[in-house]
Amino acid sequence: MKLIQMTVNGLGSFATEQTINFATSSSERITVFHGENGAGKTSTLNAILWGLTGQVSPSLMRPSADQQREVLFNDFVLEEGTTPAVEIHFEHDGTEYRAKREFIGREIAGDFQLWAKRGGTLDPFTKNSESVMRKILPPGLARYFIFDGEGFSKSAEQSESVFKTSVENILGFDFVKRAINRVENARKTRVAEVQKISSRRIANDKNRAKYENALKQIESSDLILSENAEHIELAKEALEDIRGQIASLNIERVNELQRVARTIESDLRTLRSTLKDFEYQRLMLIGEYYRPVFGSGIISDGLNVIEEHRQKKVIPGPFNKQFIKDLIESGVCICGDCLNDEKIAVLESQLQRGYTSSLQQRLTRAQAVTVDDFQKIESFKKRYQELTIGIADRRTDIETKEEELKATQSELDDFADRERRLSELRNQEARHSAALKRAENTADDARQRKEEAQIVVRKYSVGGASTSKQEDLLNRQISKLDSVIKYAYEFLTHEMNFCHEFVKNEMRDFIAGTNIPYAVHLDNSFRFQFRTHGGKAINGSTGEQKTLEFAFLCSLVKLVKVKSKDENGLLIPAGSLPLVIDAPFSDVAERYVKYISDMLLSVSEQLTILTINKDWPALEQATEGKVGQEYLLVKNITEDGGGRVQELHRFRGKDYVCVNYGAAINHSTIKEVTNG
Amino acid sequence: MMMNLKRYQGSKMPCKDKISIESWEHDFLKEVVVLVRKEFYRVGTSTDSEKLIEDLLSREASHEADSNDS
Repeated sequence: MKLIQMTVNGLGSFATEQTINFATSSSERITVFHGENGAGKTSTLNAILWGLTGQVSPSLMRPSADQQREVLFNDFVLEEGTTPAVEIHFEHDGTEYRAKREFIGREIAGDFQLWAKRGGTLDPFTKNSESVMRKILPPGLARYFIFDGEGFSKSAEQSESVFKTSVENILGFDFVKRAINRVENARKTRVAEVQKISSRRIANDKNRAKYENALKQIESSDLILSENAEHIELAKEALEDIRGQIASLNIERVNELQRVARTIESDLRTLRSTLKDFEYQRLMLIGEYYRPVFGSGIISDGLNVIEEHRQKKVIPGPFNKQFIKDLIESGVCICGDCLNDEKIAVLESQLQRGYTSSLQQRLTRAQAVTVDDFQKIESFKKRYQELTIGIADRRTDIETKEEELKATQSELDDFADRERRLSELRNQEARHSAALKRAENTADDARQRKEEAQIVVRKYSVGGASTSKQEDLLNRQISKLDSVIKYAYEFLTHEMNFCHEFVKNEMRDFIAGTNIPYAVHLDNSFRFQFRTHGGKAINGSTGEQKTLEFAFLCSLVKLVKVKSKDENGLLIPAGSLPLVIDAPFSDVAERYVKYISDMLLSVSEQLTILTINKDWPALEQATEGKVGQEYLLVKNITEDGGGRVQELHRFRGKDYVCVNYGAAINHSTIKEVTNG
Repeated sequence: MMMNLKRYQGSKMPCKDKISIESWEHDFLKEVVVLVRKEFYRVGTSTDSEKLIEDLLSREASHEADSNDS
């Protein structure tokens, strides 16, 4: 950056518009302003500083905006209502710029506008004039390049760390530190978040046990349900089978058979009774039949005996011995039980024969038998036949019924087996029903437990899983931020070491170029002092100390120039900046003026020096051939009553007349000093 | 790329002489620094750097994921 021209109005002691041109040639690159105290050096410096940055040099800083305004701007101009303004033309990286700052409103920084020359015309930046300007001349750097030399000494006395801070500010370390601070804040936020999550996770760990138990419960329930489903299915199938089998056992048929059997048995009893009755009647009839044959007496007695004997199952009787004899001889038992059809047939045959022979003989012999007897015999015979038929029928019926009963019983026997089977099936059914019921109860229980477990799982699963994931992510980010922070501090340490080494060596080089007999010591806080070659700290003279201060300052300027070539992107790439220094040579012996001006010239491509008249001759000598522009700062004093005060100044062997107009209102003018 | 310490790169340096600036940490820090400067010059807002850090971290995470994929 190179200053070309400045127009100032209303700043400091400048009550009228003043225009100056800066020396721009590389050989004659010094612009000098000289004047008496109060003639406008500081105003000029502040015009440049304020015009470019909106800032004020430390010596003019005031605590309140009103005070600041009064100090910075010209009272007369403010009262007049004129707008204080500074317009500076400069060149940067081959482009010409026009910067104009006006004090409008109450903000000290005022209103800033920047133009850039493109294609022969100046185009304004519509939005970001200030930020473009800040890139060209970083505010942190400005006060180290446009500064009050006395203020520099004073600030050095005030704070031990001012030099280190200067180095940091010049190169933009403070921005790196701010960046680290942001990264550290991001880290802190994450650490706090992780701690929060971690404490939540610890609480969740307890819940996790519940969660995992619930999962196991679900698994176990599922297994039980699965196994039980099989049991239930099998039990159901078995029951179905059993019930099918039970259904196949026809209970109604059994009941019917039992009923039939009972009927048959009843019928049989009736038939047997009837048979006996018939047999008895036939025996009775036989007895009746005998009476006509053997006499009536025999009948009653004989029947009684027969009956008696029949019941006793012995053959009776003296009363019909012949007949009984006959029967016995015939081998025929005549008891009721023994009188089967065959025997009766034999008996009848014998009786028939006996009847025929004996009856005929008796009839013949006794003539006792009447016609009625024959009729009776005939009716007996008829009845006898009827009974015989009846008996035969009954016997047939009995046989039939017995067969029926037998068949029924046989079928019932079959059913008796079925009943046993049925009973067995009923037992099985009961067993399987109970098993089914148990399985279903178990399944219900398992289902219930599973549902309860699922509630637990739903409650704890989401938090548990995401917590861990989020924690991992944050920890990874913290690790990365740690890595960045570590790198950043490493970078800062490295850079600071580099700067320290650089400044120390440059200062030593600068001092080595003088006849100052001391060594330079630079501590880690960049505090510098002279030391004897024996290593003892020593205070030099005012000039020596001033030279040492400027050696430090020039080392910083050189450092900026060196660092502008760095491509790491973290520090400020300021490049070459013009040096504007106010009153650097107060109370400094001539030779030190030479040292200091040589140093300043060696590090700057453009140098502007504001100095008091009495220091100018020495500086003029030291900078001979290097001054491109020279200005005289003239203090004009207006006295009440219009008295004129003239002051005479002598520069470069020529006399200049300064006209002072009094003390009530003072203002300065700048006059260019030319050889003419 | 290694920073050139010229003649100052020497035995008296209390920390290591060279520092690699090809790392992602450097790029990360650089982006934050640039934004902090903008904030300072009132070009950005104070929350921009916080947002940037978030973006850088997520960008780093996706980069990491891509690396893992490949």
